[in-house]
Amino acid sequence: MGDLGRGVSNVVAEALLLVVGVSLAAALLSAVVSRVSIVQSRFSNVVSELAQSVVERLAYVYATYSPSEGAFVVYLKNVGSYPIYQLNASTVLFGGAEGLQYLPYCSSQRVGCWRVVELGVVNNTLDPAETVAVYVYNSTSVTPPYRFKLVTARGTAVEATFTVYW
Amino acid sequence: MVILLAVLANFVVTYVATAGRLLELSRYYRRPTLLIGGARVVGGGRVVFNVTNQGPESVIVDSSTTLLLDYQAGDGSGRVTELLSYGTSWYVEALVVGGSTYPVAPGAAVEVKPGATARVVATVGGGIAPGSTVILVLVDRWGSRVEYVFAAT
Repeated sequence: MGDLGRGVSNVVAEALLLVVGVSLAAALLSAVVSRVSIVQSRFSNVVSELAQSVVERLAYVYATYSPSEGAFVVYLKNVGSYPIYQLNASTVLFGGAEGLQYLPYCSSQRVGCWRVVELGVVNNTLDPAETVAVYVYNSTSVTPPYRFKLVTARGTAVEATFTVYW
Repeated sequence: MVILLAVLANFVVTYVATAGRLLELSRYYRRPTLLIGGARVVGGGRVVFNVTNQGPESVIVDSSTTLLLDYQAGDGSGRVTELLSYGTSWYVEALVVGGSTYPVAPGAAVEVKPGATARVVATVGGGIAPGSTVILVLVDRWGSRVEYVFAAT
């Protein structure tokens, strides 16, 4: 009887140890998974930021006012390593000393919007080293210096402050 | 132990990211610094000017380089902003290094090393009004930009 009792208590003790062991392992696994997830998330962010900075880079070239178009014309160049697609999906802000105003995209000349004209190969893509002209048909009077900002669909921003003195 | 490794990996990733950004920043500041000088209008429709590389890095002048001219048209039709095409409407005529001048075939790509000067010839579509203001803008492949204003003679 005594041996039987000792055998049962051993089984119970082993079962308890097993439960405790499994619990500890689960807790440890949870902590590890949580940490790995944080590292993975940060790594992913870093990689995407690096890729973004390499993939898309726009540079301001020049800006002027075209009386015949009734528009400010801002020339931008792709100085990145890859083409920029769907430039018309960008966000354009334009204004003066008063502040910036959002302008929607339009495919033709219309007051209160902007359009883009490719100056190289016309393929709806801003290829590396290619330059485009962005026509800004602002509807309100603005005080110089004029301010222009374009943010592509991927989030790359280019901005310029300029005056036109003739 | 595993948690410690994960934390260490986290530090490594952060360090690499920071180092990468610093490297990118240092590259940005090591870009070529271009300077335009000696610009003049020749024969009404040709502009000749010098581009000197005053930065620590070489710059390649070729079809990926943007040259833009803003000038008063000779026929009185107003100001014209013209984007020129390398090899067609503008080219490097010669490279000047110290006291030596090396001719360059029109339209050929040229490496302008730090301290060297490229003599550029640009031809605009119409004539340039004498006495008017001419603006030159040159942007290289990687975004180094130089602007210069002068009066047409």
